[in-house]
This record gives sequence, structure tokens and C-alpha cells, in this order.
Amino acid sequence: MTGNGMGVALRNVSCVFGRTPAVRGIDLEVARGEFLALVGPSGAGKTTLLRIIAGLQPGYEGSVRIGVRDVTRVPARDRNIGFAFQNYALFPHMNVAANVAFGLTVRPRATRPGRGEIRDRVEALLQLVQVGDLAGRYPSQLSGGQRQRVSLARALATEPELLLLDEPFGALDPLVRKEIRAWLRGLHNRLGLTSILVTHDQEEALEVADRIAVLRDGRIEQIGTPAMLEDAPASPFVHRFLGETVSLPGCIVGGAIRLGGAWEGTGIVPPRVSAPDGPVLLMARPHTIGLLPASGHAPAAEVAGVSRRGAFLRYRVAPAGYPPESGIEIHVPADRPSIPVGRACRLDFSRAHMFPDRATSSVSDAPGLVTA
Amino acid sequence: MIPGALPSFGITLFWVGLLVLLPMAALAARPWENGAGLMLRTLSSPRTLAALRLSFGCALVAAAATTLLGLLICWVLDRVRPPGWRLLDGLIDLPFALPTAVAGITLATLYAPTGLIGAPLARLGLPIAGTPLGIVLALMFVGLPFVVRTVLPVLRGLPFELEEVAATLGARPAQVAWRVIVPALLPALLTGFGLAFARGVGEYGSVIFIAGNRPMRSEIAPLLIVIRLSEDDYAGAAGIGLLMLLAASACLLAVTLLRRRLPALRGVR
Repeated sequence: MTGNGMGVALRNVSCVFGRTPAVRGIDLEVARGEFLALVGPSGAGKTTLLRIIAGLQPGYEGSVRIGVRDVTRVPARDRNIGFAFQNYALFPHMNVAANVAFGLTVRPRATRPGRGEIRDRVEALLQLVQVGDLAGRYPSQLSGGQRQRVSLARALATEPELLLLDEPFGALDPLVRKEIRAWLRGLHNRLGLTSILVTHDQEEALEVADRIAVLRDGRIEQIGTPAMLEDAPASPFVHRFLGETVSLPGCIVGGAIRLGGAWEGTGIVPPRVSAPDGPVLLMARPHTIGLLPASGHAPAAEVAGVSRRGAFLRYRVAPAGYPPESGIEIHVPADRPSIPVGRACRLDFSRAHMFPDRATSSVSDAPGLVTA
Repeated sequence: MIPGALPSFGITLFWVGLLVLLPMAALAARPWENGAGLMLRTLSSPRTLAALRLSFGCALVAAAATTLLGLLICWVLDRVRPPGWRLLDGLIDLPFALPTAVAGITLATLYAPTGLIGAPLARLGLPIAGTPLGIVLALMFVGLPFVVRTVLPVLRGLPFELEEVAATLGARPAQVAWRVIVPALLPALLTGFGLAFARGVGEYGSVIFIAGNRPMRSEIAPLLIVIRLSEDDYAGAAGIGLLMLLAASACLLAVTLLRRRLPALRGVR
């Protein structure tokens, strides 16, 4: 990605707060027109990274390019970006129209559009974000969703090269959030924007982003399309972060995977792999694990409990003779015949992902092995 | 009804009536005892008018200067946060606690033609003590905490993101200050100004030592009231007092009305 195709490029960017590094050695490229999501738990450095790109974070190392410009030493006001905050940050003493016009009215006289042109542009933007009839209102008179739309219109007014969104939907209620993020993705496509979204909500990222960067302790743990991350998570951390995770111990002996501990022999596992012998972690989503009838005298698991949740039955399954708390959760579509509590069964763990099991999960940042 | 509302309201009414309205009613009743004609003649005497003009003029100038200075100090205390800002924050309230006469004597000593600051300024041809400038200085001293204590909490409550978002929209620092921060603080600034002004008009202790107190030149209205009292001219004293009360009330009312028209409060109501 060079020249015209480049939206943003970070080279070896680090930032230290006091003595704790918030962001360390990040390389990141975002193509023009791409929608990238930065996700990770709180404290992972995603907001810091976004603020570095915006020019709002003083004292970082490395270089930042936006488009064809090196903006490492350029202050925020000259970076030609749009920024949307979680708390909207609308100017409380200006009405909606004045808020949206702000970026145009602060321009030096030579590049400032005329009054009429500003008025037309504001009107068009308010139509675009679907709050055309609110121009005269003040921020305190708007709902959360309307405020965020206005703050986006304000960010777009200066026709920025790059749209930066810091948890923009975090303060909205779930229904509004779903609606406004679908709308935002449509807007991104229509205007041909380059956008970077920070969120701690992996579902949101999976839904709107072209690519997702999972951050952990100031580093990028994995970056890829939503499908890549779901099909081939690079580490147990990524697997856990992207959704509900069932994790079972196992080991490889002579190229064959076996479930370990109390689970030994209770289910089907992924086929043979070319990985060195040793302990592994098997990880799956509750809905990718199958529940099979017990066969013959092989060791079995036992249904310890079941509850209905929406379109799924949630089974709690534990090794036979073990308490329910030591079990795992398995989601089966509710239209399948239900299995009574106490029935012996086997697990279909063949769609699980496999990772080498290090004693502490904090060092498991090396790419994991993935089975078909 | 909210539990306890009635006794609370009763106490409030009693307090306001006994300690505020009653003395004011007494003040309003007093001036007329020697007849309205004599009263008006006393009030329109050149000495009285000069004293009133001086008090209101100096209070106005001092309140305006204090408001600007207070804004700057609030900015430093909240956004710059230099080392030791907490100490600085505490020092702001000192004029509240200090007996005003102590402040007055200190200021008079400092700014006297022989004083530490007064001497060099006098050599430059800028005498402070005994001039309206000295009065303004004393009024700024007592007025500052009123401005800082009304503006600082509002500035603290102003999200820093407002400044950041303004920067991302291309605003230069001066534009951020002028177009984002000051308008958002305007209601608080106006209230601080009103309080400092009202206090300045009636201020006595800290001013009389530095003012020089020459009739027609540097004699403030509160001092004239004391002089009238010492001459047993109670009606004359009450007359000036009433006039000051009315003028100060009018000013506070004006501030309140102006405040309600500010866009920063739009939609809050």
C-alpha cells in the first residue's frame, strides 16, 4: 500500500505514561477507504493509539503518516481529521447548526467559505446525518443518538481525510446503537471515508469493520478481517476476546490430540496435526461444540443441566461423576430434540482451535496452531 | 409534599425576614424623618454625589479587572496545574478570611509613597495611595475570590474534550479560548463579576486606609455614611445607604437578567 492507496501508516509508535508503556512499537497500515476497528480490553492502549493518530496525545515516538503527509510533528488542528468522542463533546453554548459549522468558521479568512456556502453545507450535512430539522436546537435538547449524529456531522464538515471514532456508541442504548452503527457503515461507504473505530465491544467491531486489530498491553495481538479472526484466532487471548469461549485442556501425543484431565476420552477431537508433542489448549465457541449420544463403554460426559435462552438450549455438561461447576457450556439450536439431565453423552470437539498450552496465558502471544 | 418541607420553608422565611428584610425595611424608613426635601438636598450635594460616583466607578473597574484576572487564574489552576497549584488555590480564599482592615493597612503600607511598591511607582509619576487607582487595587484584592470561586467549578466541569474536538476541527488555541471556553464560562463570569461588583460598592475596611479619604477626590460612599453617623445625622447616613442598596440591587438584577439570555444556558432551563 503506497501512494494514493494509503490512508494511515504508523511506524514503530510507542507512548509511555509515567513508567507504564501504553502503546509499544506499533506498526499499522490502513488503506484508503478502509474501515478499521481497534478492539481490546480497557487499558490495552486502543484509545491512546487513536489519540496519537489524531495528534491529541503529546510525547510519543515513531512516525505517523496520514495519506501522503508525514504528520508526526503536525498538531491536531492541521491534521485534517474528524474526531468523534464517546461523550459527543458538542459545544453546549452553540446550537446544532453552529456546532456543525464550527470547523468551517474557524478557518482563516482566505480559505473560509462564505456565509451562504457555510449555511448550505451545514444544511446538507444535517440532512446527511438525518437530523435536518434540529438545526436550531441546543445539545442539551437532543437525545444521545441525535447528539452523536450531530457530532459526526461536525467532524465531517471539514471534509477530513480520516475519521476517528472513540467508542462513539458507548453511551447509547443497545437498540439505537445497532441502528446507528449500521447507518455509520453505510455513510462510510457512500462518502468513501477512511475510518478508525475504537471499541471494546467485539460484536460491534465484527459487524462494521473491514479489518480488526486486537490490542493487548499496548501491542497488536492480531490484525485481520473479521472472518480471519474468527476462523484462525492467533492466540487464546484473541479467541476469548472475540466471543464466549469454552476451553479444555489437552495434549498431543505422537501427532494425535487427546482431551486431558477428567475429560480424557469423552469426545471427538480435531484430526491429527503436525505439531510437537506437549500440552495444548482446545478452544471452541459454545455453539460449535456438538453433543452426541454416548457410545458403548467409552468414558462419557453427563448432562448436568439445561436451560432455554432464545433460539438455543444451553446445556451444562460435566465429565461423569464430576460436579456441574466443573462442566462446560454447550449451545444447541432449540429445535433439536432435547437431551434430559443425567443422560450420558459424548462431545464433538472437532471444530475446536488448538493452542500450545504455556503455563501462564500471559506469554501465549506467539501465533497458535490452528486445526481445520 | 416532601417530608420536612413546611418547617424548612418556615425557617427560611423567618431567617430572610428577620435578618435581611427587616433591617432593609428599617433602612428604607429612616431617611425621611427630617422631610423628603431636606433628604433630597443632602443626597444631591456634590460631596455625596462624588462619593457615590467614586464607589460605583471604582467597583465597576475593579470588578471588570478582577473578572479577567480571575479567568486567567482559574485557567492556570485547572488546566495548567503548575507545581504547588493546590497552595495557590488555597491562597485565593485568603481575602475571605482576612479582616478587611488588616488587608487595608497592609495594602496602604505597601503602596504608600514610601512603601515597598509605592515608592518606585511614585518616582515614575504613578501615585497609588490616595488615588482611585489605590481604591481599585483594594477592591480587586477583596473581589478576586468571588470570581474564582464561581468560575473555577464551572471550568472544572467543562469537559476537556471540548477543547480537543475544537483542535481537531482546526481551531487555533486563541480560537479555542475565545469561541469555546469563554462563551461556556460566560454565565459564571457574569455572576462572579456581579458578586465582586456588589462587594466592591459596599467595601469599607480594606479601602479607607489606602484611599486617603479626601472629600470630592478619594472619599468612598461607605466612609461618608460613617462620617454622617458620627455627626449624628442618621437620616443622611440612611439616605446614602438606601441609595446604595437600590443601585446594588439593580446591578445584581441586571446581571441575573443578562445571564438568563446567554446561549450557554439555553436548553438548560
